[in-house]
Amino acid sequence: MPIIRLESSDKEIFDTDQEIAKCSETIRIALEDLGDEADNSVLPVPNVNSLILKKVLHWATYHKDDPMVAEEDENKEKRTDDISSWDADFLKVDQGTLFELILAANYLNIQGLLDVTCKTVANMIKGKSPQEIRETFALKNDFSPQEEEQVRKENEWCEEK
Amino acid sequence: MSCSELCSPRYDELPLETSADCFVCSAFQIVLKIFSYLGYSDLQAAGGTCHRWHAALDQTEFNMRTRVCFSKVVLSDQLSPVADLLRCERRFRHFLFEDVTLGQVKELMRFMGRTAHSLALDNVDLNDKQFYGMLGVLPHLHSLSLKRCLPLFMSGSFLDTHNSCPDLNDLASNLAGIRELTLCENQYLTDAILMRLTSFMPSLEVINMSGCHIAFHNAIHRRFYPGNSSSDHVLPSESVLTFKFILTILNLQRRTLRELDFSHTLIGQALLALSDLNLQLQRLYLAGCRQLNCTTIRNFLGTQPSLTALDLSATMCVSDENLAALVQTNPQLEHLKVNGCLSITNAGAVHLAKLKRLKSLDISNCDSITSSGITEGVASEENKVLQELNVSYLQICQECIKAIASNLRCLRSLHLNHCVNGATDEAIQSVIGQLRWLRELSLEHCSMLTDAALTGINISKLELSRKQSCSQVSSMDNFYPPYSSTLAERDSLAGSLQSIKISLRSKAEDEIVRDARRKQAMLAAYEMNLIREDDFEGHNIQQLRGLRSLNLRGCNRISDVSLKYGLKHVELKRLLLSNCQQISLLGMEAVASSCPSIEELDLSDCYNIMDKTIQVVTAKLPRLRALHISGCSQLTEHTLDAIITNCTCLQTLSIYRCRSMYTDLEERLSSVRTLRNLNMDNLTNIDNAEFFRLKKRLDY
Repeated sequence: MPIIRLESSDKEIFDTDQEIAKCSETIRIALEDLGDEADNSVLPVPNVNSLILKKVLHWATYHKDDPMVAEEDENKEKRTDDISSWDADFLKVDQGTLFELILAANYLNIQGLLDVTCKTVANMIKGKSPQEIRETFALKNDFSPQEEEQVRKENEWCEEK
Repeated sequence: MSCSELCSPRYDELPLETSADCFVCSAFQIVLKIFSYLGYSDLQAAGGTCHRWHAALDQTEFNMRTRVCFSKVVLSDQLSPVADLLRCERRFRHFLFEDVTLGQVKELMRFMGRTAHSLALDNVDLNDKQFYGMLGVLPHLHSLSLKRCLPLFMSGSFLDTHNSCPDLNDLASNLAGIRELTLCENQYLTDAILMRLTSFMPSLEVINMSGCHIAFHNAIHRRFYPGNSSSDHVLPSESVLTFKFILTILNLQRRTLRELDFSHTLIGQALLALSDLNLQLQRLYLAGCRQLNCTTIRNFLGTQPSLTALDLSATMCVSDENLAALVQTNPQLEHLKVNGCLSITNAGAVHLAKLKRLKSLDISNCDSITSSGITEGVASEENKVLQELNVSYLQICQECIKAIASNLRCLRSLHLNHCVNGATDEAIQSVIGQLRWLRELSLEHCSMLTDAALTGINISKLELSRKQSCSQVSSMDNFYPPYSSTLAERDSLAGSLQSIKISLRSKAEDEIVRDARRKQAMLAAYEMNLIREDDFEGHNIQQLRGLRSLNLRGCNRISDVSLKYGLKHVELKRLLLSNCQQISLLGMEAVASSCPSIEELDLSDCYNIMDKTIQVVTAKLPRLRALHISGCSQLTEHTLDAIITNCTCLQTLSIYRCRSMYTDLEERLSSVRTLRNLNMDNLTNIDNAEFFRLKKRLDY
């Protein structure tokens, strides 16, 4: 099987089956450009370090036989309760790693991984009050008391259409 | 490390610990993607965390879902809430004013004018001059709704260019952009006014005149338009609203018209006149139009092959033959409401299986439909299209509900209200086990359901283990059986409990009942410690992880066990538990901890709810907007204290029959600033002027 050699930002090489690597649109396009020379050549992935790249490839390997996700159907309901148990276990990582995975999935353009990681973060927000969300994500509250009052009032008379 | 350092392009040099703060500012698109998975209230909470996330909300998708709703207030540029609105930087598209009084609102109109796409006025005291002023500064308006605006149309010269209106040019160009016009329930609407209003709107797509008093009868036409066969050169009447004139308006709009709503009007044979107009309707709403007959509707529907939504609820014109014809003439139907159409029988209902695009069906309250109408109809085979089904009040059996569960796997909403015989524990277990994607489940008055239905708990196994530890229970010698509403029910409660028949009909019975309930609560607490994980053998409603609305009103065998072991839903917004007599603090405490998103809670007539329960519930549910505690007669003014202290966004409060709370009510409730709707008994003896004023404000 044709191999592509992916080089992480910290110069570690990962020999990967090209078919698995193609789950990343970014890599797929790069492979197309390389054409015949792709086999066994080194493709640098400068924005992703080895720890994260390893995890990404682990995910991609498990999901290699997934059917291609159709174009975003506007009528399709966006749910976060449909994460598979394998993915849920895979994403039982610290927040920093989770965000790194999102950034990597975004850079490498891996739709499935981006979806499931974003859903996971969304699940960490659901049901929480602003203060609880701040605590979860270590966000600094930069509202003045008047601004906070303004936001509270806005929420009072803004509703879902 | 500062945020700016972290935001450098070569973020591969970051340590693994990336703070969310930096993450946000370097990946705005990702934040928007995460936000796209959040519900509206979650987005409001997220927007309240910091400036950046608040700014992230000011984008099209969120603003399209947001409506500014001012209710029961005075609108004036100098006062809250308008003054607060004017300070907002966000771009609001949709506005609803209901029961408001308009003061000086020039700044408000200017603010709205920048971005408003839709404006809805419900019971607003405004005259025509104010109306012109408003619309003159709303250039982006697509949708206009005027409901119950009496004074507006009372002036006969509304929009009359010859009389009062000096400069209608601005107004005319703004009105020209309107695509959706709603004029429900307006009393003084006349042909003349309607004509003038719609003459400014050449490309209407949606016309909603439900609840309007439209004259359809020829006699009325002749009375007000004497001696004229064609309405071409006739001045529209200033006194009545006739269908004849509406027809000429519809004719002018025929090319763009897609949706018509004439619900709750007297439309009958007149509907056929619409077929001559060559309309290509997509949505047609005729709920409660009892003058329609079978032939009329069948013929009309035959001319509308593009119809995707049809509402004929509570009419007399839907027969079995019509349903057979419907599936032939309108195969594109996605939404169909035929609830309360008493002429439909199973023979007609089975045809509905042929509507391959049907996404939502309401066939409730059709007395002649039984199980086979469903099992040989929409639930006859695997169906991945149907998402919403309402079969409330139908005489269906357990097997029918099981067929629904096994064939309609993509259901998001299921209503089984009053399906008393069919909604057994087994049936609901199969619903929970198979309808994984349910967002809404309604089981009102399915009084046979026990905790086994919702949690899969094996009750007989539990009672066996209780029997075995009975020696510890023997100290409860005078134990009375749990509360039950009928003798038959009491007898059927299996187990080791001694059954004592109470036949007293006196004050003493009240005391005994109260005593029994107290002891039952003790037993429940004791029982909670006896329940282990392996006692749950079936499906737990926890599996429906996306559940947003659960209605268990009148399911009085549901106890704290279901609340404590079943309800752990982070997205649950609406929980209705009125008349569930067995629930108490124990269960509600658990619910409040596990379901933080609850916005509407109904605990009416739940006898065992005490002050402490409300205190805990209001403290742990920060998003509570509507609380119904009518008939919870044990509640006192301490409950009010809890509400005042804990509820920061309560808009609706129902306290019928809570007499012990009514002392000093006005003083206390005026500190709940967000309160809009107060439902309480009308006390005949109103001593306090303050109270009277409060009531007046809320009854605006």
